[in-house]
Amino acid sequence: MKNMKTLFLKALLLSQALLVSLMTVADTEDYSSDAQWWSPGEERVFPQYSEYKNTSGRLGIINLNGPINTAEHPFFQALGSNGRGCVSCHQPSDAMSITPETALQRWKETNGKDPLFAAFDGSDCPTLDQSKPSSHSLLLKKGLFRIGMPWPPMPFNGKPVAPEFTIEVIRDPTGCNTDPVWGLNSEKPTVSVYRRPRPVINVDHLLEMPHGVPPYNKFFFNDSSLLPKDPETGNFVSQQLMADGRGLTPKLQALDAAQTHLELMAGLSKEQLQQIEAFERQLFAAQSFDAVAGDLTGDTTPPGLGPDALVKAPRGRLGNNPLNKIFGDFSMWENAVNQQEFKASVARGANIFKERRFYIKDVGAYNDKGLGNPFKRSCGAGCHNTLVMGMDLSPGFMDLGLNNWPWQTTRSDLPLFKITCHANAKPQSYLGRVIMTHDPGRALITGKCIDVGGTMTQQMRGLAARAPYFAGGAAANLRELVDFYDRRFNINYTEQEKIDLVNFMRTL
Amino acid sequence: MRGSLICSMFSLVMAHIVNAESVSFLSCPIARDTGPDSDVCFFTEYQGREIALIPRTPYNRPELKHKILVEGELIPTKTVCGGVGFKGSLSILPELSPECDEIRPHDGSPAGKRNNLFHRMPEKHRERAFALMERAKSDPSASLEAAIYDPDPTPEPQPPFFDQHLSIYFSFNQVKSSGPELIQLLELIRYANAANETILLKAFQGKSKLDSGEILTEKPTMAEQRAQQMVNTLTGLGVSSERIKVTTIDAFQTPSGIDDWKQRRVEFTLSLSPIEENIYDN
Ligand code: HEC
Repeated sequence: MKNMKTLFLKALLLSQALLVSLMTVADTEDYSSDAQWWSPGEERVFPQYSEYKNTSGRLGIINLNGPINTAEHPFFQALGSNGRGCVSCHQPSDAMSITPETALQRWKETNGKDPLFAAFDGSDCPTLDQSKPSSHSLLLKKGLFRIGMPWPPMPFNGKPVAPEFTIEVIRDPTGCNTDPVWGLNSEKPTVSVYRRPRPVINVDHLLEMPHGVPPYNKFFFNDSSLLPKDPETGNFVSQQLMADGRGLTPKLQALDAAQTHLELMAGLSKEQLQQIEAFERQLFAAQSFDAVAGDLTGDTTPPGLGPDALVKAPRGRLGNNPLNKIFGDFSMWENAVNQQEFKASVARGANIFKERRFYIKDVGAYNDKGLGNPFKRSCGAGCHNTLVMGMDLSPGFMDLGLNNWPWQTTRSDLPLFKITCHANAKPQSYLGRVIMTHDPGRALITGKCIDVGGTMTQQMRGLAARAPYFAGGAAANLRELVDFYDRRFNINYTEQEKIDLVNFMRTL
Repeated sequence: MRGSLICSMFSLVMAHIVNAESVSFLSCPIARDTGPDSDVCFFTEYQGREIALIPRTPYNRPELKHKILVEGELIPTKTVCGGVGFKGSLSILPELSPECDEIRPHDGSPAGKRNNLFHRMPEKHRERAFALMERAKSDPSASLEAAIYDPDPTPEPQPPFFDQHLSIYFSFNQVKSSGPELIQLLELIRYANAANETILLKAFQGKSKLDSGEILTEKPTMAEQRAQQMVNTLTGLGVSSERIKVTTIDAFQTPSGIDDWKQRRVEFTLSLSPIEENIYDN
């Protein structure tokens, strides 16, 4: 009963709908029988289907090939020398990412002793006093982990890249970039950036090569070079994993995660890597229940909602067309009334997302890849174009302005770097040769000036379960996310349009 | 009848020769809004006229905040984006030009095209998509079926095989190629593989003479860079390096102000006959 009441309150607060009938909420059965936190090494069953509550309803996860005994699975085992497992940072209740709320809860429950807070990357810097919550502020407040990128850049192929720019630390609130052991001038020069764990759901969609857009199943749109290849199979890869595309394949990504996040220098066995990839490919997740709209699955809801849509929909397709409308057809909710008003708002949101054009302007590594500056498109047609997923099929690294000045100036919690491009390098297209950035992003892989701040678009599923948003956690909630775009691109959404977009995204 | 056809063809050719006005200049692009549901288009102002900036290949569109090198012919019989038609090459200069930052609001003229892959895809794909749209009216789940999918594979090239030629052109100081050109290159590779032919690759760099008389010279490494990018592409797509013969032409031709952009190219020749060394003067 208590459960029902809090949900009801949240629904009222969040929905902005005019009428919320008690009936909708009373439909909510008790679904939280399991403890929400998954500790690595625990013996549990990861079922074929499970649901987890979040602020606007429930997330549904389909584990397509059937239940898994976590004690026997490398994603869930505490393999790390630091006691971590992959699941430490990829929690089912948080759409296989992790929220600051979950981290904070865990801090309280374990007095900061959970391996989640391992000094290496679960703290602002390993040299800080690990017993203090303030030493883990980025994780506890924004859900960010430290990513130490080698300088000069060292991609997976092990061939160091000669960077086109120099990098200077201007502000170092975590102390890590100027640290004698961990910093840029240490024996192992490292650039520490701080990023959100990307959700390990619907990975099968991320890995599919784009269809129907030849020759871009072989070539990288931005510069028409060939796409990288999977060293194991020799096949081209989609480059959709990680904020900077550095996880070429699930296996290489897992190896990297094992060596960094798990501090497991021995790496993972072939079999473990296979198990991890298989598991990632069989997880399909989306919001399955909304506190106001009710059930998001089944025939009476728009077909693109609910986790089942991710199982069924074809992978690697452009959805920005009159049939697919990115997330499928929402018209059945367009004329909803009364208690259903919220549904009409969601349907309007889907339409605004797909149709409402604005000037996409001065986006580095985006407008300059041939699209033109400005490119007048909508959210869905411009960048979030992949069917039922909403990432950029291109694949899209871009500097939206979340990492770089002048658009991002409020992040006093993050390090600030000054990038100075060499005179003969092609400059960042809209910022030039001197760039202030909190995260050089893709440029820490390619060493290229044009890539400074470039970050890979993310999928848009299970959003309600995994705030804050964007790689650096810049938007605390969906409303802040919409406000960012509105400000960045002078869109001038009306208040109602903003509400509609938020309502739409929370059902994904 | 026949005579008049030839005659009119002749006058067309004549008209072309007479009317063709070559231009070569640097300027700021200007974006024009074409209505709420369509993309912007680009034009520029030059010698008191508005000239449409029509890219030679898709996705080579002008950028505000950057100057553009415009080289080609005007087509006065055509009005595009409110300006005189244009055919040729557009090169976006990499350095920032903050002064190039104008968007003209929509002036009420007929709205622009909704430029989208969906509107350009092959007829067969369109038919299928429209049938699915019809079905989606009663069965919304049809809206999740792929509207855009891979083209049918083209048949394997069959003998007899012949020599083949392809030229790919580049923007000033750039190595990036367009999608359609890369598709042509993929076809060429398929042909070369089927015929077991050698691919001769000849890469050039260029100079451009502007109408003002000024001469722009590409970086002296461009031919090399273009050759390298293309060799990487060929080998990455399975052509063994023994079957690729590369020549880079570092020497610059004297620019004339007409079609100078055609100097910036890579030529591919498929040859059945054995290759002699040093057949190109370098
Ligand atoms: C300390 C926390 C942490 C642990 C432990 C961890 N990850 Fe991650 N994971 C992250 C972060 C942070 C990112 C995003 C990094 C980036 O974008 O640069 C990420 C990204 C990913 C992604 C990419 C998803 C996408 O959509 O791009 C996959 C897949 C993944 N992790 C799998 C794993 C696996 C497998 C393991 C165990 C071997 C693991 N992770 C362990 C924090 C963690």
